[in-house]
Amino acid sequence: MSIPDLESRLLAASGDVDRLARTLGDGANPFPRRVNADPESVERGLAQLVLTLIELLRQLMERQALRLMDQDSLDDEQVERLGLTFMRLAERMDQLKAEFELSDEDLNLDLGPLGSLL
Amino acid sequence: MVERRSLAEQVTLLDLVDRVLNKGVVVTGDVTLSVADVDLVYVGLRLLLASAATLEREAAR
Amino acid sequence: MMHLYAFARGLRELEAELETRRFGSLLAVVGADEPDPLQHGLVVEGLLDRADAVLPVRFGERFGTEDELAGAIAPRLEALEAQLDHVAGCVEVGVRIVPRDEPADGDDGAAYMRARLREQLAADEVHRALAVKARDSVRTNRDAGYLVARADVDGFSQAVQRLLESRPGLDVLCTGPWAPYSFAAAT
Repeated sequence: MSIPDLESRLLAASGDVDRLARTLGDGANPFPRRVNADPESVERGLAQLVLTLIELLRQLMERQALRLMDQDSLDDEQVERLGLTFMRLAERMDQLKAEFELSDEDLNLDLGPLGSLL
Repeated sequence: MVERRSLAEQVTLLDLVDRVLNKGVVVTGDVTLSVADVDLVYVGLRLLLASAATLEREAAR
Repeated sequence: MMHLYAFARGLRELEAELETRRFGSLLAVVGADEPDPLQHGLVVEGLLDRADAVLPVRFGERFGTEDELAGAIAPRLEALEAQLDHVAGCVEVGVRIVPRDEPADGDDGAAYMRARLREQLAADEVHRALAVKARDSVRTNRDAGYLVARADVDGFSQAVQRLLESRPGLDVLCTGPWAPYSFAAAT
């Protein structure tokens, strides 16, 4: 299965989710489309996709770690290690964003109300 | 020209990855769940850092 | 190193990089490459269309040798076969309640709690209504999974939509079909 097939797996949504999609842009694609013709920016576009994915996964990881912390499932050393690793990853992300001239907005970092899904 | 990921795609992407990390059969199961969960987070982070490192190399070329 | 993706029965075809190992009546689907969580998920979803029954394995199950793999699976074989029987021909539909941020009504804690209770009762109702339409269901507070026969997915998602329409106060997200992750327990 490929990533584009995932879109069809949203079966139903109600309330705020719809409103979110409508208010952020034109319906199905809430974020402004970037149109570029030159090959260099195609490469940037691909980097953008990968970075978006990394960022999504990073958020997921952090939530999972926080969940564990909340349950008192982690000892102090584990918390310290996780914290340092997340910080390192955030730094690396900033470097890459600068490298590819991408902003937070470009990476759609803020999922708004959907952030509470996980 | 690369189209931005649609909202539907982002949502289902997150849903899938959440399932993969938190659900499914566990057969290597002597360790307690919390320790295994921490390992999973580390494995995930390691892979993320590896992906980030790959991107850096590409950028440097 | 072998990465374990899923157990399957009635597998008709297999992607290039994957291999299988037979244990009893089931196949363990493995690969030599180390995937990230998304790649793992996409592989498992790909299996769903190519097999009669798929039992997803959680991300992170890796084995250094064939013996290690066999050693982990053999003692659990009966339980795994039973789980595969249970999910055969079915997929999972997920329904999540999206918590709604009620505007803080000054310092009225009681009003907040009443609103939360209303939301909770509505969520319970939705779950009960959907559970009877599914072969099985599991639920934590805000996240439910329903085991549904493949052919019934459209009907089920229409039922979800109808329920949502009749309960405008509830924000819900319904996704699927997925491989039955929530019905694959630790054994």
